[in-house]
Amino acid sequence: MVKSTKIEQSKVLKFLIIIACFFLLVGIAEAFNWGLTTSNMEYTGAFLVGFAAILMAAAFLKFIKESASQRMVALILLIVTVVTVTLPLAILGLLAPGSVRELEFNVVTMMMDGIVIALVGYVFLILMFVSISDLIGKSRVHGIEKLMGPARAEKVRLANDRLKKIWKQYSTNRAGVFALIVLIIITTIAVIGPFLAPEEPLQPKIPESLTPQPPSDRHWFGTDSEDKDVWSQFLYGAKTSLIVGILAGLISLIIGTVIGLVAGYFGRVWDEVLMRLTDFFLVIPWFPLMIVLVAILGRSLWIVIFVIGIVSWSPTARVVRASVLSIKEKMYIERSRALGAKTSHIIRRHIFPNVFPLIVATSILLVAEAIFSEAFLAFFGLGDPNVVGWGWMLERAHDQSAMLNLWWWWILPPAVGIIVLIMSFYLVGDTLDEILNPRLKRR
Amino acid sequence: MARSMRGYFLRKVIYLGITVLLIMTFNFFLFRIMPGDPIRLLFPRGADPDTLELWRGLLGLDKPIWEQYFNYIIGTFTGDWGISFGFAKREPIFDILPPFITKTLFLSGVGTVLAVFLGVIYGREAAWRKGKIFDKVATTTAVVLYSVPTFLFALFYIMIFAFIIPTWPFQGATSPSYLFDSMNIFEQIIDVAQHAFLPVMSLILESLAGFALIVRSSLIDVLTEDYILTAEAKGLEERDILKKHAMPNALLPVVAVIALNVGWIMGGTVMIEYIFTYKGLGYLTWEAILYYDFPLLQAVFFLEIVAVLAANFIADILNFYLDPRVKI
Repeated sequence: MVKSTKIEQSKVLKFLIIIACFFLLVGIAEAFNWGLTTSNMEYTGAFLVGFAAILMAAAFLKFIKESASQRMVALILLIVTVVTVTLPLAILGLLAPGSVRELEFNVVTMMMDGIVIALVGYVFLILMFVSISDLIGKSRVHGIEKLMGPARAEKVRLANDRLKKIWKQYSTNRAGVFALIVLIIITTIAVIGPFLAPEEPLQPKIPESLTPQPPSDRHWFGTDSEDKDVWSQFLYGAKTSLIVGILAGLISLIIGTVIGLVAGYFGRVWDEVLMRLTDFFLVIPWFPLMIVLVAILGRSLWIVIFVIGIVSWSPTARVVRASVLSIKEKMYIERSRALGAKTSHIIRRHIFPNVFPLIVATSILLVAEAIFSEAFLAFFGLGDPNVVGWGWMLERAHDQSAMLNLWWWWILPPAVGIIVLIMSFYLVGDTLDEILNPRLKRR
Repeated sequence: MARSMRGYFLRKVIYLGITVLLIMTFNFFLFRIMPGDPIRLLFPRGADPDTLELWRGLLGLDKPIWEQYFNYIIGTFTGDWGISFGFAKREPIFDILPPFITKTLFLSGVGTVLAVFLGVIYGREAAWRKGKIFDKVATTTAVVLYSVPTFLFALFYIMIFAFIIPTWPFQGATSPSYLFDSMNIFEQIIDVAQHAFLPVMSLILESLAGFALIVRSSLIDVLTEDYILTAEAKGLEERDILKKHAMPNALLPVVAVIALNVGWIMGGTVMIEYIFTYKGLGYLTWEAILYYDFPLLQAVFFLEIVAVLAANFIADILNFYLDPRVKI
């Protein structure tokens, strides 16, 4: 470990840049509608950032070892965040026109935004934390050690090394890198797309012509049968696919992991019952089941996410169970038990971290499937009619027989979008699977 | 061997029974949580309350829930599947299903057989030329095809055919004149084939890539085995090694995958039949949803699940016979 004696200027710069990026992201999120419905969102900023700040503070306090002065630093940081970000936005939100009227309508959207921003905030928190430790300590490792204690610092260092190794392996796979770049591009479209879009797709508009117009200077991707801009719809649609895919993938991942862990670790009756349940969900044809569930429960975005998550967890449960079964038999688990470790400790500290890499790869494949499912439900008119998505666009196109009329500019953008997005998730998941799952390594 | 086989068989049958019961329970309660009074769907607004009560009694909807459940289980096995509420009003569901079942069986059967056949050839040729340009192009194409949602295949086909052959039939399983006996047998065959062509092609493309990729990776594994080297050392023809020595072993995992794919193909028919108005079970699913015809939906859903279960069961048994390594 190299220790330098003075704080390097570049580190200060890095710290400032990271902070600035965070604020920029929050700003983008607020100004350009992270929300799924396309309505005026400024006022929600206060609540969202407040939410994110609370989460950040909680994470911070958890990270920092028991020392009064360290806790003080964290608290001061929290207060600074609240004063500089939350309060001004809250005031702005209250001053924004029409905020009270739209407040109750958008509670769900707000929560959604809160989750997204909190996730982003968490990543930035860790980056900030490393930078702060750079500033406080003389070197990175030393800094982390000072804040967290030596054991934690070693863990962070090991995790860091591992990540570097994985990236090194990943970057040799050309298809994987390509897919990752495509994913970054699509995510960027999802974040800033609504800002670039010339018009809001759901806003009523007096049509100039009722036949779709081919691409022109004014409408890059042409117009649809209501004279609305296809390019704008395309930009808005990326966000829906991504958010539904990720959230539904997350739901099915959580269910699958919990069931796989319990079945694998506790065995016996648990295993029998849970595996019968898993088999049951494994054999049920997904698409008819999703149709039936959405038809019964209703057609809102949340129900679509929930249904996709509920239907698709079974393969994960199987994979996790199989892996838990082999890890459970390892000697160190037995030793740990002999030392008096409780079940919850063993699962948390020994089993879960070992299963985790497997879950990461699986989860990305699940996202691909969830995106497919969302497009499918939307295409067949079972999606949320008030959410612009690529499946939604295809449904409207099919409804107006765009295929028979050869209005290709209306069909190709969403179709290609869906295919490319699904494909890049598959490829990234596959590449990660090959790296993290040594069993699958090619000979 | 014989005794262990019986044990294996027995366990599979017991599991199958449990799963079927679970599915029936699930199916029953799923449609009981549907909001609204089902009887209301049978009659127009302002119908005579006595008639409503009479029908409620006739359908057994006034009985306690556990008795309804019991009746449902009994009815499922004795062919009493209730009456349709909307799609074909008040007709017994058991009687209206057969033509739909045959259409779906035809579509998915032809589609699956062709997809497996083509997928195996595709995967075999790709694996045989592993690392060469043919393999790279073929694998990339397969990955792209694998990522395309099924309904998009159907849309692209319609677009391409509407552009090249605008007179090609896109709707239904037969032309209207088919029903009036104005065609001779050849015209009838051509008519059916013409109508089935696009749906079958969509189904093939849907599952072809999956089969191809699995055959490829499985064959690549097999080709590195020692006995292949032995065969080469003996001086056998290369294609003979591929076909007679490598393929039989490489195809083992495919059997299981075909069975798992039946659920996928079921989903595919649901999409494809809707787009092409091909009146099979998948089409019926949509009609039942459209009419809030929950007994019909229940029946169709049950049939779809049973098809998947049966396929899995057959695959298990087949796998047992084909692969001596299967654990008892």
